[in-house]
Amino acid sequence: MIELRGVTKRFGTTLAVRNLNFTCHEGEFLVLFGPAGAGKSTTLRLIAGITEPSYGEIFLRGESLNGVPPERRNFSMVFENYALYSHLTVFENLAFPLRARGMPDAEVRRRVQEMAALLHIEGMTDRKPGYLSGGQRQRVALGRGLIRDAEIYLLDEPISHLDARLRIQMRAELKNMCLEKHRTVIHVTHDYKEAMALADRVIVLNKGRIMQDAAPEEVYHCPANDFVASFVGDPPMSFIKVSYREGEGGPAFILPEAGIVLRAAKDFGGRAAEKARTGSEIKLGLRSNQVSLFTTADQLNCYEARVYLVEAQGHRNLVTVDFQDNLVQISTSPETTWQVGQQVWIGLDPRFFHVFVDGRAVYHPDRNIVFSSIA
Amino acid sequence: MASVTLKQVHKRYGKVHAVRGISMEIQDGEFMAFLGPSGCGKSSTMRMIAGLEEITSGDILFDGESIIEKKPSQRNVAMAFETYALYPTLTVYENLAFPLRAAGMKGDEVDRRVQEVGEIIGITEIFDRKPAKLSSGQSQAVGLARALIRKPNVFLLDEPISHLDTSQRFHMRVYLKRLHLEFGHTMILVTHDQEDAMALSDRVAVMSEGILHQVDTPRNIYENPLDLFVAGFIGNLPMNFIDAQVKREDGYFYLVNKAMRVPLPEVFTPKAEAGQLPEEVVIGIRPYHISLVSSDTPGSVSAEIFVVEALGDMNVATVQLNGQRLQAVCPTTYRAAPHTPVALAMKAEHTLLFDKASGRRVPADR
Repeated sequence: MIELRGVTKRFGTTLAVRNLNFTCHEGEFLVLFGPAGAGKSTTLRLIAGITEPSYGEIFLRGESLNGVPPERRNFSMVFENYALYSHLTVFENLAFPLRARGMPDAEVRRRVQEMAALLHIEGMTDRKPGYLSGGQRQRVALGRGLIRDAEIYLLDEPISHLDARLRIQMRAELKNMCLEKHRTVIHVTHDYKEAMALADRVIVLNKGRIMQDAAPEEVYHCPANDFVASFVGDPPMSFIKVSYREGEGGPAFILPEAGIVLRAAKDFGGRAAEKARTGSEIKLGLRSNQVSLFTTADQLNCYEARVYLVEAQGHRNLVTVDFQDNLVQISTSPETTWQVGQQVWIGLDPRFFHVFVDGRAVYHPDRNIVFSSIA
Repeated sequence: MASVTLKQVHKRYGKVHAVRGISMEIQDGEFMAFLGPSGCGKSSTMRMIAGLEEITSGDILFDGESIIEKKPSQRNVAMAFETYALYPTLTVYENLAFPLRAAGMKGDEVDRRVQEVGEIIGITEIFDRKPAKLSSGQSQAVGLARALIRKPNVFLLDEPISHLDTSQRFHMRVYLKRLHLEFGHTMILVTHDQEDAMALSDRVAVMSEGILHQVDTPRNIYENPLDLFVAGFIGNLPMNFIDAQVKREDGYFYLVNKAMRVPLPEVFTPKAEAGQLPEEVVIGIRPYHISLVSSDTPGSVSAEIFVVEALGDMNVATVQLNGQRLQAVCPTTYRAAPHTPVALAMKAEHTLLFDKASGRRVPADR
């Protein structure tokens, strides 16, 4: 439906986004995800027509949008800084996009009430924005953006300023509304859970470049590179620096100083092995729920480590261990107790190793095995 | 290092009663979090400890000695991530050594202390640089080192993490917690983020509207919240609340509302028998303790799917029950479209009950 071809935006000497190529399909919920300065908001503003690309073109249903002003694009945008009309009540702020299109009063009233109820702001429709909290203002801004029918909804961090509880509730409301009404949405966030929860497809951006463009499960289970792996997950992946060797027992990852040999998974080979042979920096990536923690050494594939940190998070205890100068995080049951400095053994199952060579992923575990291990 | 005692501390700003009689004891060397939403009084309390705000009434003591008459500079309190003005003409090393020499410390000891702090913070490699040559992260680290080097009584951290993105946050948490382990300072973290508070502190003080709701270890706060506010504020997924009545039918007790009728968990039966359960209750249950089951499961409740979110390590189903939304954690393979009928089972041993009128949790007999 909307397509970016070779879009680059330059501000002075800074390249805010570089050579973006992607398509957002009709009815799709697309999330642009990345850290501050990644170019997410710039991309959204380019699509909205608020700024023009320095190079490249944006197409809507095959027609170029070059030179088409924002007001003629029939896109609805929600800004991170709300941009509400301060002299109008919440009701009139929500009604504004509908009235501007000449909708009859009764229909305006019905839609505004419906939206206010959905966003839990029905009790404050008579107030002006100056008398609302930040979280309330943000919900009014979201409501104003979603209330009218538009071709595409462009949402810039629309729920990021809400309290945790409300944010999780609003996330579900937003997802449900867009599913039910089959809306096309491009949503910007720096929160990976929000990206995962909402998206049909995620585009991970960093420093103006696309790091990965894939379904959310793909981004989580098969991150394309160590940037994505270190940015997605609660906690993100832990890494172990290794070297690679193909000996008599088959391919293996080595921690030379400790004399530890970690056999690769049975299906590790082919192109992945070739990259590992020729690459200079090799890292194993591990999810915190795919490493086990023991107090004794009598398990298979387990290696000595020391507890570096324990975080009691309620639903789990997150333990960080120092394993040969690599910090590895492990999710354990909240009933367990661990002491900082305690000698422990970590169970490393080669079936769960993600392998990165010079920053790029060359191997991911079989997802069926991963699913059955955490189900 | 010092213990910190708050005794009936109040703060009024004109008509606004920001802090309403807070009393607590923070042990020497303890990591305490002040946790609550904006406007709960956590920052005012911290600023009164630092001496940046005057106390309206009550008392604050360090090691048993009242400090409210003392100026901020006499309290020896450090604040992390204050923008410390570093001396531009001095190297990083000299910036750290200067306050020690000014306090009369001898050369050998100064060097030993600077090296020690520098190594823990990880800045020994930039000891020779001048402040102008540092990145912002490095200046922050040097500022932190300078705050720590004078061994403050209390180390205050005001929302140090909340503005960081995911991967920076994990690093900063590890860093702060290790800092506490290495130096053993009394530390107070002020935050609105329950995940940071839970992950970092020995104990958490949960506040709202100037009132202290509960002070306890992260695990107790999570598992045994004293009231609805604490229960609703703690947890990476919010606790579900369901209004219900306690009813006796054919000799058995049930939790009943328009949409469901489930047996009262056994741990509450003695109280129910003794007539000590309020009739109107709020059931509190975390999403981890509700599962989607087949509809013929005894004691299950029918509902329909509102939306399913796949978060990677788990999926979260939001369901509709009698116009109310509940969340349940389900396997990563679970997918369902809106309106799909489902059945829910609540784990009895994790079901909490609150008195609807007072909001207080009803303790179970275990």
